[in-house]
Amino acid sequence: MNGSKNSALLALLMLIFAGVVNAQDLQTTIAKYTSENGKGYLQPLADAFGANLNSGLYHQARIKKSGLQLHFALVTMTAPIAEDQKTFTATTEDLFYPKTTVEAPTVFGRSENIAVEGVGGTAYIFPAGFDIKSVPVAVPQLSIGSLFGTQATLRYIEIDLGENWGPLNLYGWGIRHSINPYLPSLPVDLAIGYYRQTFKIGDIIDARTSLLTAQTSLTRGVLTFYGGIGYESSDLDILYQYETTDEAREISFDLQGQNSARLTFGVGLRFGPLQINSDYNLASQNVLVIGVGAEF
Amino acid sequence: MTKRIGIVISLLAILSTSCEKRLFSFVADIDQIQTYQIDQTGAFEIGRVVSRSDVLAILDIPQDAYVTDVKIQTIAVSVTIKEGNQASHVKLTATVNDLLSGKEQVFRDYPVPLTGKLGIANPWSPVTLLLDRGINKVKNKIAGYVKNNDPFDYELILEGDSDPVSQRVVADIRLKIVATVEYDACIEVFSVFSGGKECPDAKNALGP
Repeated sequence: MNGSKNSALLALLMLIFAGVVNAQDLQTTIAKYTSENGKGYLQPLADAFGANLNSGLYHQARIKKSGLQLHFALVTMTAPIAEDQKTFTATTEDLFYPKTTVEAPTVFGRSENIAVEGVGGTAYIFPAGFDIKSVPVAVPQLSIGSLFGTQATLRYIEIDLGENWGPLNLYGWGIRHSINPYLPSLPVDLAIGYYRQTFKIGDIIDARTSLLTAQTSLTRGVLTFYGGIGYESSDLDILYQYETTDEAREISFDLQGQNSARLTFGVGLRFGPLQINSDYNLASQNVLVIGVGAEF
Repeated sequence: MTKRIGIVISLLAILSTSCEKRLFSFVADIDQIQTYQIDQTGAFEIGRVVSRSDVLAILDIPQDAYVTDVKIQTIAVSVTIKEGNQASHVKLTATVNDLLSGKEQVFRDYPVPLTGKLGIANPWSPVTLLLDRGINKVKNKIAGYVKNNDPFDYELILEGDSDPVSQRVVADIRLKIVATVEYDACIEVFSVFSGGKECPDAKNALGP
Protein backbone atom coordinates (compact mmCIF):
# COMPACT_ATOMS: atom_id res chain seq x y z
CA MET A 1 0.00 0.00 0.00
CA ASN A 2 1.08 3.52 -0.59
CA GLY A 3 2.16 5.95 1.98
CA SER A 4 0.50 9.27 2.31
CA LYS A 5 -0.13 11.03 -1.01
CA ASN A 6 1.15 14.50 -1.60
CA SER A 7 -2.05 15.79 -3.05
CA ALA A 8 -5.10 16.44 -1.03
CA LEU A 9 -6.48 18.04 1.69
CA LEU A 10 -7.67 19.61 4.33
CA ALA A 11 -9.67 21.35 6.73
CA LEU A 12 -8.67 18.50 8.77
CA LEU A 13 -5.43 20.24 9.34
CA MET A 14 -7.41 22.44 11.55
CA LEU A 15 -8.25 19.36 13.48
CA ILE A 16 -4.59 18.56 13.63
CA PHE A 17 -4.06 22.12 14.71
CA ALA A 18 -6.53 21.38 17.43
CA GLY A 19 -4.66 18.16 18.13
CA VAL A 20 -7.61 15.90 17.57
CA VAL A 21 -7.24 13.88 14.40
CA ASN A 22 -4.49 12.32 12.29
CA ALA A 23 -3.91 13.91 8.88
CA GLN A 24 -3.62 10.98 6.52
CA ASP A 25 -6.78 9.21 7.63
CA LEU A 26 -8.84 12.34 7.45
CA GLN A 27 -7.32 13.18 4.07
CA THR A 28 -8.26 9.76 2.71
CA THR A 29 -11.77 10.06 4.10
CA ILE A 30 -12.43 13.54 2.75
CA ALA A 31 -11.14 12.50 -0.68
CA LYS A 32 -14.38 10.50 -0.89
CA TYR A 33 -16.31 13.75 -1.07
CA THR A 34 -16.09 16.44 -3.70
CA SER A 35 -18.36 19.46 -3.59
CA GLU A 36 -21.75 19.57 -1.83
CA ASN A 37 -21.14 16.53 0.36
CA GLY A 38 -17.74 17.90 1.26
CA LYS A 39 -19.31 21.19 2.30
CA GLY A 40 -21.88 19.44 4.44
CA TYR A 41 -19.25 17.19 5.97
CA LEU A 42 -16.92 20.06 6.89
CA GLN A 43 -19.38 22.91 7.61
CA PRO A 44 -19.54 22.26 11.37
CA LEU A 45 -15.75 22.39 11.47
CA ALA A 46 -15.81 25.83 9.84
CA ASP A 47 -18.46 26.94 12.34
CA ALA A 48 -16.50 25.70 15.34
CA PHE A 49 -13.16 26.98 14.10
CA GLY A 50 -14.49 30.45 13.24
CA ALA A 51 -16.34 30.73 16.55
CA ASN A 52 -13.24 29.62 18.44
CA LEU A 53 -11.00 32.20 16.80
CA ASN A 54 -13.48 34.97 17.54
CA SER A 55 -13.41 34.07 21.25
CA GLY A 56 -11.08 34.86 24.13
CA LEU A 57 -10.07 38.22 22.74
CA TYR A 58 -10.77 40.14 25.95
CA HIS A 59 -11.13 39.37 29.65
CA GLN A 60 -12.20 42.74 31.02
CA ALA A 61 -13.12 46.19 29.66
CA ARG A 62 -10.88 48.41 31.80
CA ILE A 63 -8.37 50.32 29.66
CA LYS A 64 -6.04 52.93 31.11
CA LYS A 65 -6.26 56.38 29.59
CA SER A 66 -2.49 56.28 29.07
CA GLY A 67 0.59 54.42 30.33
CA LEU A 68 1.82 50.86 29.95
CA GLN A 69 -0.86 48.17 30.16
CA LEU A 70 0.48 44.80 29.05
CA HIS A 71 -1.24 41.43 29.09
CA PHE A 72 0.25 38.21 27.80
CA ALA A 73 -1.82 35.02 27.89
CA LEU A 74 -2.35 31.55 26.55
CA VAL A 75 -5.99 31.36 25.60
CA THR A 76 -7.83 28.10 25.00
CA MET A 77 -11.15 28.16 23.20
CA THR A 78 -13.33 25.06 23.15
CA ALA A 79 -16.42 24.75 20.97
CA PRO A 80 -18.83 22.06 22.24
CA ILE A 81 -20.42 20.16 19.37
CA ALA A 82 -24.22 19.95 19.43
CA GLU A 83 -26.17 16.93 18.16
CA ASP A 84 -27.49 18.80 15.11
CA GLN A 85 -23.88 19.42 13.99
CA LYS A 86 -23.24 15.70 13.77
CA THR A 87 -25.31 14.87 10.67
CA PHE A 88 -26.02 16.45 7.30
CA THR A 89 -28.18 15.64 4.28
CA ALA A 90 -25.91 13.87 1.81
CA THR A 91 -26.49 12.60 -1.72
CA THR A 92 -24.56 9.80 -3.39
CA GLU A 93 -21.83 10.98 -5.79
CA ASP A 94 -19.51 9.58 -8.44
CA LEU A 95 -21.85 7.78 -10.86
CA PHE A 96 -23.49 5.70 -8.13
CA TYR A 97 -26.87 4.38 -9.27
CA PRO A 98 -29.53 5.11 -8.19
CA LYS A 99 -28.87 8.57 -6.76
CA THR A 100 -29.95 8.45 -3.11
CA THR A 101 -30.19 11.00 -0.29
CA VAL A 102 -29.60 10.10 3.37
CA GLU A 103 -28.59 11.64 6.71
CA ALA A 104 -24.84 11.05 6.96
CA PRO A 105 -22.29 11.89 9.67
CA THR A 106 -20.40 15.17 9.52
CA VAL A 107 -16.74 15.30 10.49
CA PHE A 108 -17.95 15.49 14.10
CA GLY A 109 -20.55 12.74 13.74
CA ARG A 110 -20.66 9.10 14.79
CA SER A 111 -17.68 6.97 13.89
CA GLU A 112 -19.75 4.59 11.76
CA ASN A 113 -19.91 4.52 7.98
CA ILE A 114 -23.37 4.70 6.40
CA ALA A 115 -24.05 2.30 3.50
CA VAL A 116 -26.65 2.83 0.76
CA GLU A 117 -27.49 -0.15 -1.45
CA GLY A 118 -27.47 0.25 -5.21
CA VAL A 119 -28.12 -2.05 -8.16
CA GLY A 120 -26.68 -5.56 -8.36
CA GLY A 121 -25.18 -5.59 -4.87
CA THR A 122 -23.29 -2.33 -5.24
CA ALA A 123 -23.17 0.06 -2.28
CA TYR A 124 -22.24 3.67 -1.63
CA ILE A 125 -20.45 4.32 1.64
CA PHE A 126 -20.75 7.67 3.36
CA PRO A 127 -17.65 8.13 5.53
CA ALA A 128 -17.93 8.10 9.30
CA GLY A 129 -17.26 11.11 11.45
CA PHE A 130 -14.77 11.27 14.28
CA ASP A 131 -17.24 11.29 17.14
CA ILE A 132 -15.90 14.60 18.39
CA LYS A 133 -17.64 16.24 21.31
CA SER A 134 -15.67 19.50 21.28
CA VAL A 135 -13.06 21.35 19.24
CA PRO A 136 -10.29 23.06 21.20
CA VAL A 137 -7.85 25.66 19.92
CA ALA A 138 -5.09 27.35 21.92
CA VAL A 139 -3.32 30.56 20.90
CA PRO A 140 -0.83 32.95 22.50
CA GLN A 141 -2.16 36.48 22.78
CA LEU A 142 -0.57 39.84 23.60
CA SER A 143 -2.51 42.99 24.46
CA ILE A 144 -0.64 46.25 24.74
CA GLY A 145 -1.69 49.80 25.56
CA SER A 146 -2.67 52.33 26.39
CA LEU A 147 -2.74 55.43 24.28
CA PHE A 148 -5.75 57.73 24.63
CA GLY A 149 -7.70 54.86 26.18
CA THR A 150 -6.88 52.56 23.28
CA GLN A 151 -5.32 49.10 23.38
CA ALA A 152 -4.11 46.73 20.67
CA THR A 153 -4.32 42.93 20.72
CA LEU A 154 -2.13 40.54 18.70
CA ARG A 155 -2.20 36.81 18.02
CA TYR A 156 0.51 35.07 16.04
CA ILE A 157 1.50 31.49 15.26
CA GLU A 158 3.75 30.24 12.44
CA ILE A 159 4.67 26.57 12.03
CA ASP A 160 6.35 24.93 9.03
CA LEU A 161 4.34 21.82 8.18
CA GLY A 162 6.79 20.64 5.52
CA GLU A 163 6.71 20.71 1.75
CA ASN A 164 3.39 18.87 1.42
CA TRP A 165 1.48 21.54 3.28
CA GLY A 166 3.58 24.65 3.50
CA PRO A 167 3.54 27.00 6.46
CA LEU A 168 0.70 27.21 8.96
CA ASN A 169 0.15 30.83 9.79
CA LEU A 170 -2.26 32.47 12.22
CA TYR A 171 -2.20 36.20 12.46
CA GLY A 172 -4.69 38.30 14.33
CA TRP A 173 -4.99 41.89 15.38
CA GLY A 174 -7.54 43.93 17.24
CA ILE A 175 -8.06 47.36 18.64
CA ARG A 176 -10.38 48.53 21.37
CA HIS A 177 -11.18 51.84 22.91
CA SER A 178 -12.53 52.77 26.33
CA ILE A 179 -15.87 54.56 26.46
CA ASN A 180 -15.55 55.56 30.12
CA PRO A 181 -13.77 58.91 29.51
CA TYR A 182 -16.86 60.04 27.58
CA LEU A 183 -19.30 58.72 30.19
CA PRO A 184 -17.50 59.26 33.54
CA SER A 185 -20.55 58.43 35.64
CA LEU A 186 -20.77 54.85 34.35
CA PRO A 187 -20.63 52.32 37.24
CA VAL A 188 -18.90 49.74 35.04
CA ASP A 189 -16.03 49.72 32.55
CA LEU A 190 -17.14 49.86 28.93
CA ALA A 191 -15.18 49.49 25.68
CA ILE A 192 -15.76 48.78 22.02
CA GLY A 193 -13.41 46.66 19.96
CA TYR A 194 -12.80 45.29 16.49
CA TYR A 195 -10.70 42.19 15.73
CA ARG A 196 -9.57 40.46 12.54
CA GLN A 197 -7.71 37.19 12.11
CA THR A 198 -6.38 35.17 9.20
CA PHE A 199 -5.44 31.52 9.26
CA LYS A 200 -3.57 29.90 6.37
CA ILE A 201 -2.03 26.56 5.59
CA GLY A 202 0.03 26.87 2.42
CA ASP A 203 -2.31 27.28 -0.55
CA ILE A 204 -4.78 24.75 0.86
CA ILE A 205 -6.62 26.59 3.60
CA ASP A 206 -7.39 30.27 3.84
CA ALA A 207 -9.66 31.37 6.70
CA ARG A 208 -10.67 34.82 7.85
CA THR A 209 -12.64 35.99 10.87
CA SER A 210 -13.81 39.34 12.19
CA LEU A 211 -15.54 40.45 15.37
CA LEU A 212 -17.06 43.77 16.41
CA THR A 213 -17.84 43.92 20.14
CA ALA A 214 -19.10 46.06 22.96
CA GLN A 215 -17.43 44.93 26.19
CA THR A 216 -18.17 45.62 29.84
CA SER A 217 -16.62 44.60 33.16
CA LEU A 218 -16.93 45.15 36.89
CA THR A 219 -14.05 44.47 39.29
CA ARG A 220 -14.58 43.61 42.96
CA GLY A 221 -11.38 42.69 44.80
CA VAL A 222 -9.57 39.90 42.97
CA LEU A 223 -12.64 39.07 40.88
CA THR A 224 -13.64 40.68 37.60
CA PHE A 225 -17.01 39.96 36.06
CA TYR A 226 -17.10 40.72 32.36
CA GLY A 227 -19.26 40.26 29.32
CA GLY A 228 -20.16 41.64 25.97
CA ILE A 229 -22.13 41.45 22.80
CA GLY A 230 -20.60 40.94 19.40
CA TYR A 231 -21.26 40.74 15.70
CA GLU A 232 -18.98 38.33 13.90
CA SER A 233 -18.25 36.65 10.61
CA SER A 234 -15.93 33.92 9.44
CA ASP A 235 -15.21 32.16 6.20
CA LEU A 236 -13.02 29.31 5.24
CA ASP A 237 -11.73 28.45 1.76
CA ILE A 238 -10.30 25.01 1.11
CA LEU A 239 -8.55 24.12 -2.13
CA TYR A 240 -6.83 20.83 -2.85
CA GLN A 241 -5.95 18.33 -5.54
CA TYR A 242 -7.54 14.91 -5.48
CA GLU A 243 -5.91 12.34 -7.72
CA THR A 244 -7.74 9.34 -9.12
CA THR A 245 -6.28 6.77 -11.50
CA ASP A 246 -7.41 8.70 -14.58
CA GLU A 247 -7.56 12.34 -13.55
CA ALA A 248 -6.51 14.99 -11.06
CA ARG A 249 -9.44 16.96 -9.73
CA GLU A 250 -9.21 20.36 -8.15
CA ILE A 251 -11.65 20.51 -5.28
CA SER A 252 -12.59 23.70 -3.49
CA PHE A 253 -14.99 24.57 -0.72
CA ASP A 254 -16.02 28.03 0.36
CA LEU A 255 -17.55 27.69 3.81
CA GLN A 256 -19.21 30.55 5.69
CA GLY A 257 -19.29 30.31 9.49
CA GLN A 258 -22.77 30.10 10.96
CA ASN A 259 -22.22 32.58 13.80
CA SER A 260 -23.32 36.20 13.49
CA ALA A 261 -24.31 37.52 16.92
CA ARG A 262 -22.83 36.43 20.24
CA LEU A 263 -23.26 37.12 23.92
CA THR A 264 -20.32 36.67 26.31
CA PHE A 265 -20.33 36.13 30.10
CA GLY A 266 -17.12 35.63 32.05
CA VAL A 267 -15.21 35.91 35.27
CA GLY A 268 -11.56 36.62 35.93
CA LEU A 269 -9.39 36.02 38.96
CA ARG A 270 -6.22 37.93 39.70
CA PHE A 271 -3.33 37.14 42.04
CA GLY A 272 -0.79 39.94 41.63
CA PRO A 273 0.28 39.85 37.98
CA LEU A 274 -1.14 36.34 37.45
CA GLN A 275 -4.57 36.33 35.91
CA ILE A 276 -6.96 33.50 35.09
CA ASN A 277 -10.24 33.98 33.29
CA SER A 278 -13.04 31.94 31.87
CA ASP A 279 -16.03 32.93 29.75
CA TYR A 280 -18.84 31.33 27.86
CA ASN A 281 -20.02 32.61 24.51
CA LEU A 282 -23.62 32.04 23.50
CA ALA A 283 -24.23 31.93 19.74
CA SER A 284 -25.19 29.44 17.05
CA GLN A 285 -21.87 27.86 17.93
CA ASN A 286 -21.15 28.24 21.65
CA VAL A 287 -17.57 28.50 22.93
CA LEU A 288 -15.95 28.04 26.34
CA VAL A 289 -12.81 30.11 26.95
CA ILE A 290 -10.13 29.60 29.57
CA GLY A 291 -7.18 31.96 29.66
CA VAL A 292 -4.14 32.14 31.85
CA GLY A 293 -1.67 34.97 31.70
CA ALA A 294 0.19 37.80 33.29
CA GLU A 295 -0.92 41.43 33.37
CA PHE A 296 1.23 44.45 34.16
CA MET B 1 -12.97 29.38 47.17
CA THR B 2 -15.00 26.68 45.42
CA LYS B 3 -15.03 28.81 42.26
CA ARG B 4 -11.25 29.20 42.40
CA ILE B 5 -10.77 25.46 42.76
CA GLY B 6 -13.20 24.83 39.89
CA ILE B 7 -11.34 27.17 37.57
CA VAL B 8 -7.97 25.67 38.44
CA ILE B 9 -9.26 22.13 37.91
CA SER B 10 -10.79 23.07 34.53
CA LEU B 11 -7.56 24.69 33.45
CA LEU B 12 -5.47 21.72 34.48
CA ALA B 13 -7.83 19.35 32.68
CA ILE B 14 -7.30 21.24 29.43
CA LEU B 15 -3.57 21.83 29.73
CA SER B 16 -2.38 18.56 31.20
CA THR B 17 -4.57 16.08 29.36
CA SER B 18 -2.84 12.95 28.10
CA CYS B 19 -3.17 11.25 24.72
CA GLU B 20 -4.53 7.81 24.02
CA LYS B 21 -5.10 5.65 20.94
CA ARG B 22 -8.69 5.15 19.84
CA LEU B 23 -10.22 3.22 16.96
CA PHE B 24 -12.01 5.17 14.22
CA SER B 25 -13.66 4.10 10.94
CA PHE B 26 -12.44 5.34 7.55
CA VAL B 27 -13.05 4.68 3.86
CA ALA B 28 -10.79 4.72 0.82
CA ASP B 29 -11.86 4.35 -2.80
CA ILE B 30 -10.08 2.30 -5.44
CA ASP B 31 -10.64 3.17 -9.10
CA GLN B 32 -9.58 0.43 -11.51
CA ILE B 33 -9.76 1.22 -15.20
CA GLN B 34 -9.30 -1.31 -17.99
CA THR B 35 -9.11 -0.20 -21.63
CA TYR B 36 -10.27 -2.49 -24.45
CA GLN B 37 -9.26 -1.46 -27.98
CA ILE B 38 -11.81 -2.82 -30.43
CA ASP B 39 -11.50 -2.97 -34.22
CA GLN B 40 -13.85 -5.75 -35.19
CA THR B 41 -16.73 -6.63 -37.44
CA GLY B 42 -18.83 -9.18 -35.61
CA ALA B 43 -18.47 -10.53 -32.09
CA PHE B 44 -15.38 -9.69 -30.05
CA GLU B 45 -13.91 -10.86 -26.74
CA ILE B 46 -10.93 -9.34 -24.95
CA GLY B 47 -9.53 -10.17 -21.53
CA ARG B 48 -7.52 -8.01 -19.15
CA VAL B 49 -5.62 -9.46 -16.20
CA VAL B 50 -5.89 -7.70 -12.84
CA SER B 51 -3.31 -8.54 -10.20
CA ARG B 52 -3.16 -8.00 -6.47
CA SER B 53 -0.31 -5.55 -6.93
CA ASP B 54 -2.39 -3.53 -9.45
CA VAL B 55 -5.12 -3.10 -6.87
CA LEU B 56 -2.86 -2.37 -3.91
CA ALA B 57 -0.86 0.17 -5.92
CA ILE B 58 -3.86 2.48 -5.98
CA LEU B 59 -5.00 1.91 -2.41
CA ASP B 60 -3.81 4.41 0.16
CA ILE B 61 -4.49 3.22 3.69
CA PRO B 62 -2.21 2.89 6.72
CA GLN B 63 -0.15 -0.29 7.13
CA ASP B 64 -1.78 -1.07 10.46
CA ALA B 65 -5.37 -0.58 9.28
CA TYR B 66 -8.02 -3.17 10.11
CA VAL B 67 -9.96 -3.75 6.87
CA THR B 68 -13.58 -4.37 7.83
CA ASP B 69 -15.32 -4.63 4.45
CA VAL B 70 -15.06 -3.94 0.74
CA LYS B 71 -17.98 -2.77 -1.38
CA ILE B 72 -18.30 -2.25 -5.12
CA GLN B 73 -19.65 1.25 -5.58
CA THR B 74 -19.90 1.68 -9.34
CA ILE B 75 -19.22 0.02 -12.66
CA ALA B 76 -19.01 2.60 -15.43
CA VAL B 77 -18.22 2.68 -19.15
CA SER B 78 -16.65 5.34 -21.34
CA VAL B 79 -16.27 5.05 -25.11
CA THR B 80 -13.90 6.77 -27.53
CA ILE B 81 -14.98 6.44 -31.16
CA LYS B 82 -12.18 5.89 -33.66
CA GLU B 83 -11.83 6.50 -37.40
CA GLY B 84 -13.64 3.79 -39.41
CA ASN B 85 -16.35 3.03 -36.87
CA GLN B 86 -19.67 2.15 -38.52
CA ALA B 87 -21.77 0.99 -35.60
CA SER B 88 -24.22 3.22 -33.73
CA HIS B 89 -24.45 0.98 -30.66
CA VAL B 90 -22.59 -1.89 -29.07
CA LYS B 91 -23.94 -4.50 -26.66
CA LEU B 92 -21.42 -5.39 -23.98
CA THR B 93 -21.06 -8.25 -21.55
CA ALA B 94 -18.43 -8.14 -18.80
CA THR B 95 -17.29 -11.29 -17.04
CA VAL B 96 -14.96 -11.79 -14.12
CA ASN B 97 -12.86 -14.94 -14.39
CA ASP B 98 -11.18 -16.25 -11.26
CA LEU B 99 -8.88 -19.23 -11.79
CA LEU B 100 -10.06 -20.86 -8.57
CA SER B 101 -13.77 -20.18 -8.55
CA GLY B 102 -14.67 -19.80 -12.22
CA LYS B 103 -16.54 -17.17 -14.21
CA GLU B 104 -19.43 -14.86 -13.37
CA GLN B 105 -21.00 -12.17 -15.50
CA VAL B 106 -20.92 -8.65 -14.07
CA PHE B 107 -23.38 -7.32 -16.67
CA ARG B 108 -24.89 -8.84 -19.80
CA ASP B 109 -25.81 -7.40 -23.24
CA TYR B 110 -25.66 -3.87 -21.90
CA PRO B 111 -26.34 -1.37 -24.73
CA VAL B 112 -23.83 1.47 -25.10
CA PRO B 113 -24.24 4.17 -27.77
CA LEU B 114 -21.22 4.79 -30.00
CA THR B 115 -21.66 8.52 -30.31
CA GLY B 116 -19.54 11.57 -29.75
CA LYS B 117 -16.54 13.14 -31.42
CA LEU B 118 -13.84 11.02 -33.00
CA GLY B 119 -10.92 10.50 -30.64
CA ILE B 120 -12.59 12.21 -27.68
CA ALA B 121 -13.55 10.05 -24.71
CA ASN B 122 -17.22 10.29 -23.75
CA PRO B 123 -18.00 10.99 -20.08
CA TRP B 124 -18.26 8.01 -17.76
CA SER B 125 -21.70 6.48 -17.68
CA PRO B 126 -22.77 4.08 -14.90
CA VAL B 127 -23.89 0.59 -15.85
CA THR B 128 -27.38 0.45 -14.35
CA LEU B 129 -28.11 -3.26 -14.83
CA LEU B 130 -25.58 -5.22 -12.79
CA LEU B 131 -25.59 -8.86 -11.75
CA ASP B 132 -25.21 -9.68 -8.04
CA ARG B 133 -23.04 -12.78 -8.41
CA GLY B 134 -20.51 -11.05 -10.66
CA ILE B 135 -20.35 -7.98 -8.44
CA ASN B 136 -19.88 -10.24 -5.44
CA LYS B 137 -17.01 -12.08 -7.13
CA VAL B 138 -15.19 -8.82 -7.96
CA LYS B 139 -15.78 -7.65 -4.41
CA ASN B 140 -14.38 -10.89 -2.97
CA LYS B 141 -11.27 -10.68 -5.15
CA ILE B 142 -10.53 -7.11 -4.03
CA ALA B 143 -11.30 -7.98 -0.41
CA GLY B 144 -8.92 -10.94 -0.68
CA TYR B 145 -6.18 -8.67 -1.97
CA VAL B 146 -6.51 -6.00 0.71
CA LYS B 147 -6.89 -8.59 3.48
CA ASN B 148 -3.86 -10.41 2.13
CA ASN B 149 -5.53 -13.81 1.74
CA ASP B 150 -5.84 -14.03 -2.07
CA PRO B 151 -2.64 -13.74 -4.14
CA PHE B 152 -4.17 -14.88 -7.43
CA ASP B 153 -4.89 -12.67 -10.45
CA TYR B 154 -8.30 -12.45 -12.01
CA GLU B 155 -9.37 -11.65 -15.55
CA LEU B 156 -11.92 -9.07 -16.58
CA ILE B 157 -13.34 -10.10 -19.95
CA LEU B 158 -15.30 -7.76 -22.18
CA GLU B 159 -17.26 -9.29 -25.03
CA GLY B 160 -19.91 -7.96 -27.35
CA ASP B 161 -21.05 -7.08 -30.81
CA SER B 162 -22.45 -4.13 -32.63
CA ASP B 163 -26.20 -3.54 -32.42
CA PRO B 164 -27.47 -4.28 -35.03
CA VAL B 165 -24.88 -7.02 -35.49
CA SER B 166 -22.06 -7.29 -38.01
CA GLN B 167 -21.20 -3.61 -38.27
CA ARG B 168 -17.59 -2.58 -37.86
CA VAL B 169 -16.82 -1.36 -34.33
CA VAL B 170 -13.71 0.77 -33.99
CA ALA B 171 -13.51 2.20 -30.51
CA ASP B 172 -11.65 2.24 -27.21
CA ILE B 173 -13.97 1.04 -24.48
CA ARG B 174 -12.93 1.82 -20.91
CA LEU B 175 -14.42 -0.06 -18.01
CA LYS B 176 -14.13 1.47 -14.55
CA ILE B 177 -14.70 -0.38 -11.28
CA VAL B 178 -14.92 1.79 -8.19
CA ALA B 179 -14.56 -0.12 -4.93
CA THR B 180 -14.71 1.26 -1.42
CA VAL B 181 -12.51 -0.21 1.30
CA GLU B 182 -13.86 0.28 4.80
CA TYR B 183 -11.23 0.12 7.50
CA ASP B 184 -10.62 0.94 11.12
CA ALA B 185 -7.42 2.53 12.34
CA CYS B 186 -6.12 3.50 15.73
CA ILE B 187 -5.14 7.14 15.98
CA GLU B 188 -3.87 9.20 18.84
CA VAL B 189 -6.29 11.71 20.35
CA PHE B 190 -6.46 13.80 23.49
CA SER B 191 -8.10 11.77 26.24
CA VAL B 192 -10.65 14.41 27.15
CA PHE B 193 -11.86 14.75 23.56
CA SER B 194 -11.66 11.15 22.46
CA GLY B 195 -14.50 9.43 20.61
CA GLY B 196 -14.25 6.23 18.64
CA LYS B 197 -13.78 2.78 20.16
CA GLU B 198 -11.17 0.97 22.18
CA CYS B 199 -8.22 -0.19 20.08
CA PRO B 200 -7.89 -3.96 19.70
CA ASP B 201 -4.57 -5.78 19.84
CA ALA B 202 -2.37 -4.64 16.94
CA LYS B 203 -1.54 -8.28 16.18
CA ASN B 204 -5.01 -8.72 14.69
CA ALA B 205 -4.47 -6.08 12.01
CA LEU B 206 -5.69 -7.24 8.61
CA GLY B 207 -3.87 -4.75 6.45
CA PRO B 208 -1.64 -6.13 3.70
